[in-house]
Amino acid sequence: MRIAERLRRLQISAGAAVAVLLYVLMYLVYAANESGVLSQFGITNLLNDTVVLAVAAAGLTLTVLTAEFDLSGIGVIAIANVVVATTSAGPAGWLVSLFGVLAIGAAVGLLNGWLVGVLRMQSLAVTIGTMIACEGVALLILAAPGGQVADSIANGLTGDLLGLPVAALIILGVLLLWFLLAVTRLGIALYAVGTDETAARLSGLAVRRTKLLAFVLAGMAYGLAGYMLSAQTGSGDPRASDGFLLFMYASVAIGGTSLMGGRGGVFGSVIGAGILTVMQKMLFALGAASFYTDVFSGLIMLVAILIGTLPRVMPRLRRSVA
Amino acid sequence: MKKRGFKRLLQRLIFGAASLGAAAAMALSVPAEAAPYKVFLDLSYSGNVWQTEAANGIKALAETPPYDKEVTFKTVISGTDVQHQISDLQSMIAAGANAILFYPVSGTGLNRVIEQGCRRHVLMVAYDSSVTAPCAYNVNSLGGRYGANSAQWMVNQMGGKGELVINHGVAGTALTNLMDRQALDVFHKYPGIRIVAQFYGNWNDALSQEGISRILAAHPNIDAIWTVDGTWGSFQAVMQHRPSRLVVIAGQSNNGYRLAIGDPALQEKGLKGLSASFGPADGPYAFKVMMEILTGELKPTEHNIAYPLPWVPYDKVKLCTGLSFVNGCNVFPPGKVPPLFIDTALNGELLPELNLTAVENGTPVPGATIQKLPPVQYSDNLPGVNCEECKAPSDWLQPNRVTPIPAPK
Repeated sequence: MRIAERLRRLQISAGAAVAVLLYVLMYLVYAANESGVLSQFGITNLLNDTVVLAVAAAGLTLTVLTAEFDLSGIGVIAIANVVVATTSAGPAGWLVSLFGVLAIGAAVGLLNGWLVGVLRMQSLAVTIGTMIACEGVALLILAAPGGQVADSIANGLTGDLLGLPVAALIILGVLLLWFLLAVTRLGIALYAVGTDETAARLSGLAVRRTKLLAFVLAGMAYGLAGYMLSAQTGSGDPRASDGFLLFMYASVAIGGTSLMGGRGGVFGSVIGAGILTVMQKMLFALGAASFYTDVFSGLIMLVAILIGTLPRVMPRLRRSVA
Repeated sequence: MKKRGFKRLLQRLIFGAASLGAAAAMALSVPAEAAPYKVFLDLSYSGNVWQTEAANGIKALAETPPYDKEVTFKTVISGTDVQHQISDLQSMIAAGANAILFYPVSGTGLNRVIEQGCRRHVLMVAYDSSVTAPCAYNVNSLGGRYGANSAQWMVNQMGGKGELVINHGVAGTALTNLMDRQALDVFHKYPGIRIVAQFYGNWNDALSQEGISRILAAHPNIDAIWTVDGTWGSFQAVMQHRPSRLVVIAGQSNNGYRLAIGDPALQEKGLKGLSASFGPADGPYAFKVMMEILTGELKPTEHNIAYPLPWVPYDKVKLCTGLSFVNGCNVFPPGKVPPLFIDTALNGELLPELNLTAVENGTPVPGATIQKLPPVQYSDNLPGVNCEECKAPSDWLQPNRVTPIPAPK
């Protein structure tokens, strides 16, 4: 009981717990069927594959918690990628380009948040708009794949630091920030706004500001995700994030965050991203034919969502039977 | 009670996973019959005609003697996401691949994993699209300068004047940028050629048809359409809206399109078509190149290897009677294949091992054996497209197949 209470305080939902279990299972199957999984090489590779999706899904979770859509992520990632590829190898260097992409993410988030939170426009429509605009801007900056990411980023962020993969440190850092955020007023407000906006407003919460900040923080996370993508690919490609959006939403859903808002958390989404990444490796190791990867991702998502909602659905089912 | 139920469920789950793992481990440990080479094919998206025909051709070759005894061959579909392809390539390298033939989703984004493979002595070969990693081989038709040659061919057919529509490919891809630059460079030399409209048809027939329909409403007098793909859709739009006056057009190699440009009745209405563009047969050709490098038969001196650009103008369309492209024939009769079947999946000279059934079903041709390739040709080096620190030939924008008509001074 006390453990459950503690988990709840960290906003780790039942869905997230299921996701952890699933992750461990898949990882074990993967490790049992392929050599070198547990080597430094294998672990670092897996984490490097996970970190971009994990950071992007973490950002998306913040807006999903407030019961809003945010499709702008892939647009911000695209801009961040081409900006890093065109600036980091020059005089700007790794630090300036990092702040640059965080600022770009924050600016896009601010625009989204202002339109959605303050002007109360529909988030789906608004963020489709910003997504398309951002993808256009990315093409203006870099019309075709190219550019060069500074070695300090490309090698530094995909390697190890003090014996630990840098990707792991970044994922841990994101989780730490989340756990800190979750206990602040803003963190609590995210859930309150997502659960019942009217009630949140009536009880004196600043709904507009909460949504605005959720979008800004999300935008910064997308910027960081784009930065990490640049590290992994070592170059710029204005279309590199094209197929990414559905995986971001899938990570959030598998991690047990309700797309209706108010329930879930970043921890689950990070695990969800891990599941999608390790699943691909596991199916490869099992020799499953390629199309099954898609079938499996879909099924696993359904199962995860189903198990995540069981605790809430069960009483209702029992009542309807009785 | 409830607790015990959960425990049992957990036990079953773990047992299930363990037995699944064990079964898979057994399946994998069945010794392959001394096939010395482990070869992977990594596709990007799948489910369209081009990709399917290329993959089928490769699969059929891998099962044609003597390759059937020499390789363990496996296909993986990575989709269009760079990260997924990186992950799959990593898995292949980790699984001990000797060679990987892949359709790159990104020209530059895969470079780091490609270098990872090269360091582990994996032969990395990209087909159709290209990568800039210096250790990889690119096998494609870039050197055929489709953009410059097709544009010049059209200018010649148009007599150097008329209204032109440009159907670009996919924005943000190196190929589209390159083809556009080459084509525009040619078109701009002729002041009589007026580009009245441009749009991005995304190499897609439906989008192209819609785009051309829209443009025809605003510009009813267009004389020509330049495409790289989406040609069939573009042509359909003209047939639908202006069937009595057709156009000069260049583009892909769908069977229906080739039949149409070869049709004298349509030619009389002004249709002058060119069927060229990159063909799916590049995939199987790249596979043969890769196998010859792997077995040591071929030692290429450069990394950009050319697959000759398929090139069939309307007056060279020739009907095939059998299942293969022999005696210079290059199109199948209507009804034998769907109109969208891409004829450049076959190549009578370089890939005599394949026929129609092979590229439709991915099965080897009975009795066929692998024939040695003629000496390979090398392609143009194009910085940022198929190499990093390299120099393009000085004439990379110029047509190298079609002789230009004089441009007005």
